[in-house]
Amino acid sequence: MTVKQNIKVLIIEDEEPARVLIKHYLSGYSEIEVVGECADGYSGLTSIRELSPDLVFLDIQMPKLTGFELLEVLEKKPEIIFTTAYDEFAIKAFDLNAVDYLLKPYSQERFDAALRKGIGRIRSETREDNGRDALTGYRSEGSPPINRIVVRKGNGISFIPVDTIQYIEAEDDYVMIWYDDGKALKQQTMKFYESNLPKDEFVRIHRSAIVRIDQIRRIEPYGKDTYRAILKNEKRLPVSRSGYKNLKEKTA
Amino acid sequence: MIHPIFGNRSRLTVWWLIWFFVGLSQSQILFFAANCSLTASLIDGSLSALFYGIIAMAIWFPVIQLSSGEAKTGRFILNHLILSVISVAIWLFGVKWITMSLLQDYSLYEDCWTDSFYYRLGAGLFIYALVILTYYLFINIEKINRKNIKEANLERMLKETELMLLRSQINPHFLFNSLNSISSLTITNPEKAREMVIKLSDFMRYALSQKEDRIVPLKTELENMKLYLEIEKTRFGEKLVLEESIEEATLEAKVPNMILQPLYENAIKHGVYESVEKVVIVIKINMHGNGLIIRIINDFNPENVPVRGTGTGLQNVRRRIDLFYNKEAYLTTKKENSKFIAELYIPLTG
Repeated sequence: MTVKQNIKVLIIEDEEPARVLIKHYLSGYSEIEVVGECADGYSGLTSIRELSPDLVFLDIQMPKLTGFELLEVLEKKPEIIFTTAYDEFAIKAFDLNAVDYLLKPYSQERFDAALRKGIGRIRSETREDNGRDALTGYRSEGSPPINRIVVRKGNGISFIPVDTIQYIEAEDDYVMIWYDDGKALKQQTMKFYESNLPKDEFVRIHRSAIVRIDQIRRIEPYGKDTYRAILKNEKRLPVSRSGYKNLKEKTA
Repeated sequence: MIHPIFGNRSRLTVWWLIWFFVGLSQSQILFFAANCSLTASLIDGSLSALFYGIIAMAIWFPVIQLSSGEAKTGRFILNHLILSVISVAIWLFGVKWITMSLLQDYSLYEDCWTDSFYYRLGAGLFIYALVILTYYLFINIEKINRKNIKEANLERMLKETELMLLRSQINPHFLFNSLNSISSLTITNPEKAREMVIKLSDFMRYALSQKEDRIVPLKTELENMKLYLEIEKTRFGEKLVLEESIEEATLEAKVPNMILQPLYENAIKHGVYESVEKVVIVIKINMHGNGLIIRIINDFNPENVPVRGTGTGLQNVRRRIDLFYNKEAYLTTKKENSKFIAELYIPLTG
């Protein structure tokens, strides 16, 4: 007979009463061990790295780092159960391959169902790797443009304000973000940035390039039907035919 | 559309007065220019006026009928040609026939009628044109009036609707998070849970009130904001610190209800939501000239790159005060060191 290992649970949630409730709902499960509680996204990230929990209850709207941003910079993802007050994020959470999505306030029954699903996933032999590629383009249509991009920096994280981004280049499965203070590599799609950066400030000029419109110094012809953008810092970027059309529409 | 002459006593008086003079001129012309006898001239003149007065009044009905459709110009002219010929013919021969039947010796009158035929025809057509013009003028004025009234109503309705929508935009996060806190408190502290349910109910009742008078004394607004802030304090505990400095004289001033809530919500969102430290939110209210200045000041970390909000909260406040006070009120925001200051000026009203 194999002794089942305890399941390590971490609660990341900025409101105290909400944490109390989760602990209360968990109190009936002897196999669950609450290894920590965090009141903001950043300490949540640190705790996940230190404690490597099996299951995380994760709020979305939190100080310092939102639940989604936390997942963006996490290398090894535990199973996630989102807890949030409002369902504008439901589709995103689903795309992120989360175990479940609890809408506050929730009942013990609803909580139990989510928890059972989580335990099931953890106990199952074939644990899927949690969405390395699921983490793309999860923002729903019509959400306001993003204002910052979170990137890993050494052991920590840093934020790139969207206002400082000059251009973004595609590099295989990654994108290189060039901004005023340097550059940063991030696993994300061009499509994501095309649809989530402010549309009046950025333009997709090529399959492999998105550029801030006011960074472009001039456009010159380059071969048949294609062009080249020369930026203020003398950087040259390819412009495809459809990219040229996009650019003309935005600057008209 | 009601008859413009028939439906109005004073217009009816003026109408017949005009026709009286028309009749009088007709008699004079017949007597002096067409060599009719005095009796014939008087009878013909009076009858002409009476007859045409009635015909002109009746013309209103075909005119209103013709004006309601989208007639082409050619069609329009044809219609009025036919109508004018019929009206004038009825008038000409009607007057002749009745006058003749009233006079014993009508041979002289017949000559006089024939002599004045072209004059009569011209006058008839001329009067027809005048009457039609008057009617069209009236119809158009009426149309414009109706349009104006309709537009004014529509505008008022839009304004009402907009104000109502702007007022009732409570963040659903607030509501559901509060309910979740209550759910938690029922386990740990049922007394406090009940207290919070009551506070939340009182606050929601205020926020959703659909009463006509949406202008309330500042005192009432502040009492209800206290409920809101106490609920938020239950959620965030010691993290949220509140301070106030309110000039006594401002408490009776009138403000739109729920005008402070978005300002507090903004302060909490950018202060408390984004912080792990204590956040102080201060409200200062003072009289200023012919109004009052409300300042809500919160700590924030200037190094934080904020998650972009939708910005609807403050925009709604701006739109509401614009609608209420016609640009006499204003809302400004500024950042000073690590303080965010929202300043709202509201003019004093009755």
